[in-house]
Amino acid sequence: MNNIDNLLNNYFDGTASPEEENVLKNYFRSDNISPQHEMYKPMFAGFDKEKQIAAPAFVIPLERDKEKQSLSRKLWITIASTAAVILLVITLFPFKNQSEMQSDDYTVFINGKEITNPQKAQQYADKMFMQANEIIRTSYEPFVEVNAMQTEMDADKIFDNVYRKINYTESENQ
Amino acid sequence: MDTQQFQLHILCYSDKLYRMARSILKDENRSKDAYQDLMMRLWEKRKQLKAIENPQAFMLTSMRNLCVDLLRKQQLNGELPANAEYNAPNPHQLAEQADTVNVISRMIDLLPETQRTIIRMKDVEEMEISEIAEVMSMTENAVTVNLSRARKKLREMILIHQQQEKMLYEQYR
Repeated sequence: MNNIDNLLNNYFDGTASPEEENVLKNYFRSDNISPQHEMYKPMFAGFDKEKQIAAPAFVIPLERDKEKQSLSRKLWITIASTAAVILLVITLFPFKNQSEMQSDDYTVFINGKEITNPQKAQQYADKMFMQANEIIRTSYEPFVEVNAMQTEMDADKIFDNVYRKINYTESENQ
Repeated sequence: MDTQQFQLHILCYSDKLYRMARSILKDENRSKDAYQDLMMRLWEKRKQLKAIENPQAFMLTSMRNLCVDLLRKQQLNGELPANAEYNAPNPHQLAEQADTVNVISRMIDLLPETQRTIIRMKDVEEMEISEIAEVMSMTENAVTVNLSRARKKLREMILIHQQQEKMLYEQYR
């Protein structure tokens, strides 16, 4: 009993070791408490009772559902964006698409030859254009020369020059 | 940290955290709210929780800060702190509190916040002085001093209570 008194003194001074406190707790949980210690019984019983208070349930927010939601949302965004790109391509390049579709029944006659390849026909047309351009350029050149000769062969100018020369020789002769 | 890890490493402290809220706020509903609030915050920051060395001390400190803040706001709003003084119960109350064990809880509630938080961490939660010091941001010596004061005050209140009880018992015999 003396020992319990010492332990109680240490306990109230806050200097009891965890082991000493355990001895006290077990003593006050038992049925053979000496009368002079009876007053402390409710105190230790109170601590034990408080320890039985349990927290209310905490419901963990559903993490997986969130992930599923975001996954379906991502999928939806992917599908929508792909559809948008396809729609854009179709609306922006409709003629290219059409010419490609018609390339099967493309026929052109060049010098009596049947040509079904649009690329070859295009090449031929370009070549012809180049030739025509050259012909026009070269055939126009004589006109330019004649024009230059005409300006040189201006009658008034020639007459003026002759008139000046005559005047010059006349003054020298005098 | 996923749901399972949260359950394993965080929710195991639930009861301690809730009891601390009750000790500081002295109101069941407010304590429940504060506890839910803290758990939601912890859940939202679950990715950072792994890095914490002493999760128990960290969470108890968080719970205490949250509750002390609530107490302060309560006092600023002019709400009276629950029972500022210990009054010996009248016979009617005595009959109500037939369970003397419940009286102990009410007595601890009368102690200043620091003292009641410390005495409960030590005597109810059976935590070590060093850990209590960490939660309270105090030296171990300061914790011991506060613990001693709290226990002695509790002893005084028990003595007064038992004397009153004896007197009343003799009066009504």
